[in-house]
Amino acid sequence: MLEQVLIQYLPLLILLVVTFFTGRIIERRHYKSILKWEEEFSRLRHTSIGRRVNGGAGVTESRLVCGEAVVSVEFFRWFVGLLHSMFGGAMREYESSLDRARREAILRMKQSAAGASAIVNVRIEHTPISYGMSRFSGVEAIAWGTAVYKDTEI
Amino acid sequence: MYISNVESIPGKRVVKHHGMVTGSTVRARFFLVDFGQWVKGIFGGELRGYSKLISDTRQQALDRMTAQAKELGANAVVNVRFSTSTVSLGSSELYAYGTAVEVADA
Repeated sequence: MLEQVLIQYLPLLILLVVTFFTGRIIERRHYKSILKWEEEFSRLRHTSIGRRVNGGAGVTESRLVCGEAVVSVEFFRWFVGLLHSMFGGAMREYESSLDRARREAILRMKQSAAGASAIVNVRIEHTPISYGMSRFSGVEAIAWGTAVYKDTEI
Repeated sequence: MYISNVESIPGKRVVKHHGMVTGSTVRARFFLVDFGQWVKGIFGGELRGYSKLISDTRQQALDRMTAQAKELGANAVVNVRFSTSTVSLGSSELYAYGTAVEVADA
């Protein structure tokens, strides 16, 4: 009896164990690359304020820049989240994916604004995505702002 | 065509308003890509196939918006906003809207 139950749920168990490790490894690598890029782009500031540059003197060029990223929630975290949502409380397991998607989107936005002195009026929007099976399986984040080029440092 | 998401084009002066212009599009990827992304999603990490989808969707929505602005005779679109949603599984909808204006050197 116990054996039968074990065999029946073995694929689920294997999937949980495997995705636990793959999720952790991928997360760590992603954060490593995010931190590296953030360091690289730390000179290019971005702000959610837009009014300050209105009329801006010395602005030679300005254009819209965007960045987007889709980050998935691996099976393990999704499963834990499913149980968690029944009992309530802070769902920490989804926060990592959200955070990574947002930061990656901002970094890609900065990447497309090479040479700019600042990015102003940055807005971020995200949508949960679901595909394959109808469940929450990831998050897409899109960040956009106005890259401002000045001949003098702000 | 100048595009910005602040209320004017920095360093320029708005001389005429042409009203709101919009561009929206719904796109999806080839079903084999969907399957690949689904498998990738189980193990976690970034879904590059879908990042590209959103990038393409955004570009097309912006193109449609600027085409509309050109038709009105504007040379800039200000205060651009995006709104995204998932219309159906594996597809992405993006709506771009802004105000078409005519700008001149300040």
